[in-house]
Amino acid sequence: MRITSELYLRLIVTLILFLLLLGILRWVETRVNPYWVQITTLAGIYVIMAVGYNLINGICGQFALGPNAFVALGAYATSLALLPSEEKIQTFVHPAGPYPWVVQWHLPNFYLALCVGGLVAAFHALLMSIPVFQTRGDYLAIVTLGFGEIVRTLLVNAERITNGATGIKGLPPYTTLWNTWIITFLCIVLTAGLNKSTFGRAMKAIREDEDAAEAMGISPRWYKTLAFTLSAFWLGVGGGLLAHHLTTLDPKQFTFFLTFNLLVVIVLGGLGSITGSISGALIFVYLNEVLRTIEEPHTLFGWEYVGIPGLRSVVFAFLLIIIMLFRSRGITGRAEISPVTLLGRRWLAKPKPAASSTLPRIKAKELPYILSISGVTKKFGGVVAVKEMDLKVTPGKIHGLIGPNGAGKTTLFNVISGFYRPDAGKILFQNILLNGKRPYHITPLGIARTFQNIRLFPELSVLENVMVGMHIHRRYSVWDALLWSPRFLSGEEKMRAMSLRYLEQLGLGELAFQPAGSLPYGLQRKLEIARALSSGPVLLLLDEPAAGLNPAETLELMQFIRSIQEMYNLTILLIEHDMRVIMGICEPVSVMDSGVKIAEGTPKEVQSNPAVIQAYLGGGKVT
Amino acid sequence: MTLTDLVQQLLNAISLGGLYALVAIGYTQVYGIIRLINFAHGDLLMVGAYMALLLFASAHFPWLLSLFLALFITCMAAILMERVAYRPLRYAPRISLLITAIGVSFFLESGATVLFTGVPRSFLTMIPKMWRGQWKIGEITFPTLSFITIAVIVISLMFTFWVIFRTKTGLAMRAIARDFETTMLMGVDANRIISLTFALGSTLAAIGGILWAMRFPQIFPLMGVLPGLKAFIAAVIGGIGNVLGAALGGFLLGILEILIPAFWPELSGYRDAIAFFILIIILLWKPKGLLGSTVE
Repeated sequence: MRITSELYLRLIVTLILFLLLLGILRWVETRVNPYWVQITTLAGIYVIMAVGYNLINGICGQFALGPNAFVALGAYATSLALLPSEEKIQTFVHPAGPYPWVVQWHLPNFYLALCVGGLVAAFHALLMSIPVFQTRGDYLAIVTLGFGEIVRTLLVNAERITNGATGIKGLPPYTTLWNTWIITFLCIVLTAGLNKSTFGRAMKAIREDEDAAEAMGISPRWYKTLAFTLSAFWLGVGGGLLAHHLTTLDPKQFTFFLTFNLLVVIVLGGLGSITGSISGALIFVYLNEVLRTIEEPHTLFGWEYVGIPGLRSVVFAFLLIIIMLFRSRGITGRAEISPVTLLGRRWLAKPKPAASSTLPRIKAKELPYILSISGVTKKFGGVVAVKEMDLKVTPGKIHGLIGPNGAGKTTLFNVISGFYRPDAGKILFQNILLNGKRPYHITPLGIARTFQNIRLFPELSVLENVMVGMHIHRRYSVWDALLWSPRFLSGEEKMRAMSLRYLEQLGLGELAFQPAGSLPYGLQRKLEIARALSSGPVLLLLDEPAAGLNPAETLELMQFIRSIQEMYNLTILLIEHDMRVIMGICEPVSVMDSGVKIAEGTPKEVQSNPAVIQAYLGGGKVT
Repeated sequence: MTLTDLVQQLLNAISLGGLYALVAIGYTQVYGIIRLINFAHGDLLMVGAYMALLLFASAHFPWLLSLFLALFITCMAAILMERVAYRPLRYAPRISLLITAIGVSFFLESGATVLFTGVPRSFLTMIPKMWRGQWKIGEITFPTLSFITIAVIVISLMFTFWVIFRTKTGLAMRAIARDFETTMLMGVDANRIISLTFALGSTLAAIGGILWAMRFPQIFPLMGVLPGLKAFIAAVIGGIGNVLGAALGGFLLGILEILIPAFWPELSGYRDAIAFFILIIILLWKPKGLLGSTVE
C-alpha cells in the first residue's frame, strides 16, 4: 500500500520512533550503569539546547552568540519558581528583605516551572530582539554576545532574587532520564514540524537571501523574532533541566564557554540541520566523557601517563578549527534524516491532480490602469536616479521598459516594489498608494518581481522555492504548525500538491527535489519567474529576464512569458536590453534615459524615435 | 572626591582607554582587510604577557630582551594563526571564518590553561623597582606606573600612525581595506600585507598585554578575553575599519568605564556590562560607529 501523504507518513514514523525511544530508554535504565544514565540524561539536555540554538543560527541564519543568556534565564527562572519562598529566604546570603514579589511565591510542579523557565527566556528574547535585529551579520553576533554578558552580570547583581555570585545549591534532582528524553522528543518533533512548515521555509528563505524573501511577502523582522524567541524558549527549558540535573546553580556556569560548547555542537553536527544538531549534541556529550580519560592518570604499557587537566577543551577547540577548515558543513550538512529520506519516495503515491490544482490568485480590480506612477523621484546623495517619472500600465499588457545602462530602470522597479522609498511622487497600484510600504506589504497586494541577478534560495529545493513564493497564501497559523494541527497537515499537503502540479505544468516537475542552486542558468531564470508567479500576482515585474540567455533560450523564454501572461491573465512590466524580446512581445514600450522617460509607444514608434536613437548611440555632432 | 582621587581616576581612565586603543587597532585593521572579527586577538595579550614573564623569570633573559622577544614571539604566533587558520578560508563564507576565529581563541585559552594552569601568576617581578613608586606634585600623588603606561601607549600609537599613514606599506594596508581585488591588480602582494597587518596588530596587542599585566599585576590564561572584547567594542564604537576611530573609541570606552562607577558607585557591580550597553546604544544611534564607515 502506498501512503498518499508525506505528512501522514511522517506521523506514522514519528510514532514508531517514539516507541523505539521508549525501548532504548528502558534498556539504558536497566542495563547501563548509573553513571552513564546520568550522561545520557545530559545528552538529552544538550540535544534540546542544540536544537533550539540551531533554530536561530542554522535555520534562520542569524549568527547569534548569546544562547548562554537564555540557558541562564531558564535555569534561574525554573529553580526559583520551584523553591518555596521560606527556603529561598533562608539560603540567601543577602541580609533580610524586603524581597521582591518573585521571591514570595512558588509553583508546585516541575513541568509548570520548566514552562515558566522557557517562557521567561522567550520573553527576554522578545525584548532583546528589538535592538538585536536592528543589526546584521558580525554586529548581530557581537550584540548578542553582549546580551549574554549583560544577563549574566544582572543575575550576579540581583542578589535579592538570585543569591548573586554564590548561586543556589541543593536543588531537588527532578531531572530524570525519562522526563528529559520525552521533552527532548517533543522538542525535536515540534521544531521539525515548524521547520517543514511555511514558517520554517520563510526562516530558511531569510537565511538564503533576505531581500528575495522580503519580495515573497515575508517580513524578515517578524520571522527573525519568531526564530529567536522559539530558540530562547528551548534554551530556557534546557537550562531548567540542566539546573535540576546538576542540582546547583552558579552564574559561572553560564559564561561564553557555554556558548562556545553549544557552537561546537551545532557546527559539528551541521548548521541548519535538526539531525545535525541531535548528532552533534550526542557526539559532544559522549566524547566529552570518553575524553575524560586523557585528563586522568593512567599506566599504559608500563608507561606512566600523568593526565593533563583541561586538555579536553583544547581538543574541542582544535576540533572546531579542523571542522571549519576541512568539513565546514559538519557531519550532516543541511540534510535531514527524515521519514521520507529513510524510506524513500517510492512509498509515497503521486499527488492526485486535485481539484485545487490551480494556484491561488489575488483578485484584480477592473480599472483602466493597473499601475500609475506620477512624478516619482529617487535620489542617492546628489545623484538623481529617477526624476519625475510618469508611467501608466494598462491591464493585460506586456509593457516593456528599456533604456541604456544606468537609466534608472531597476531603481524604478525597486521603488515600485518597496525596496526604495521614493523622494517624491505617487505610486498607485489598483488605487492603493504604495509609497512607504515595505516589500512584504506590497507582495500580498498583487505585485511580484524578479531580480536582475538571479536571487533564488540556492540551498532550498525547487519545490521549496515555489512554496516560499506561495507564502502569502498560507492557510494555517504558527500554532497550527507547532502543534501539528489537522489544519497544518492538510494545508501543507494541499500546498505541496499544488506546487508539484504547477512545477509539472511549467516543465520543472522532474527537478522538484533538486536544490535550486544546482540548476543550469536558464532554468534558474525560469524558476525565478515561476517563484514570483506562485504568489498569484496581478502585476509581474521582470528585471532583464533574458540576460545571459542564448538565442534559443531567449526564444523559449519569450514563449514562456507570453504563455503565462495568457494563462494567468497577468499584466507584466518588463525591463529588457534584448531587442528581440522587446520587439517580439512588448506593447507598449517606454524608454528611459538618465532617470527620465524620453519616449513611449509601440515598439515600431519607439525604434524610430530620434531621442531614443540618440540615447542609445550617443548624439550630437562628431567634433 | 579629593583632588588626588580625581587626578588618579583620570590617569587611570586615560591609561585604560589607551590600552583599549592599542588592542582595538589590531581588531579594526584585520576587520578592515579580511572582514573578520578576530576573536583570538584578545588572547594575544595573554600570549605576550606570558612570554615576557617566562623569558624573564624562568629563562632569566635580561629584562628588555625578554620584552622584545615576547613581542616578537606574539607577532610570529599571530602570523602563524593567519597562515594556518584564516588564509585557507579567505573565500569561504564569512561565518566559517568567524567560527574558526572563535575556535582559535579557545584553542589559545585552553592551551594556555594546560601549559600554565589556570592559577594566576604574579607579574610583579616584571615591573622595575623605580616604576613601582609614587610621584608627588604639590598635594597630589599618583603612581609612576600610570605615567609610564601612558607614555608607552602614546609612543606606540604615534609609531602605528606613522606606519599606517606615512609609509608605503601603510598605504597598501589602507588600499586593501578599501578594495581588495583592485589593490591586488595594482601589483600589491596581498598575502604579505595581510601578514604585516597581523604583525602590527599583534605587536600592539602584546604591548597592551604587558602593560595590562603590570597594572594588576597578575596574569592568567583568560586574562585577554574581557579586554579583547572591550577593545573590539571600542573599534565598533569608533567605526570598524577606521584606525583613528579605534583609538578614539578605545579612549572613550576606557574613560566611561572608569568614570561612570567613580561617580555612581552603585553601578560598580555592572562594570563589565557597561561596555556592552554603550555598544548597543551606539549601534542603534549610529550603526556605522562614530567616525562612519569610511575606511582610512
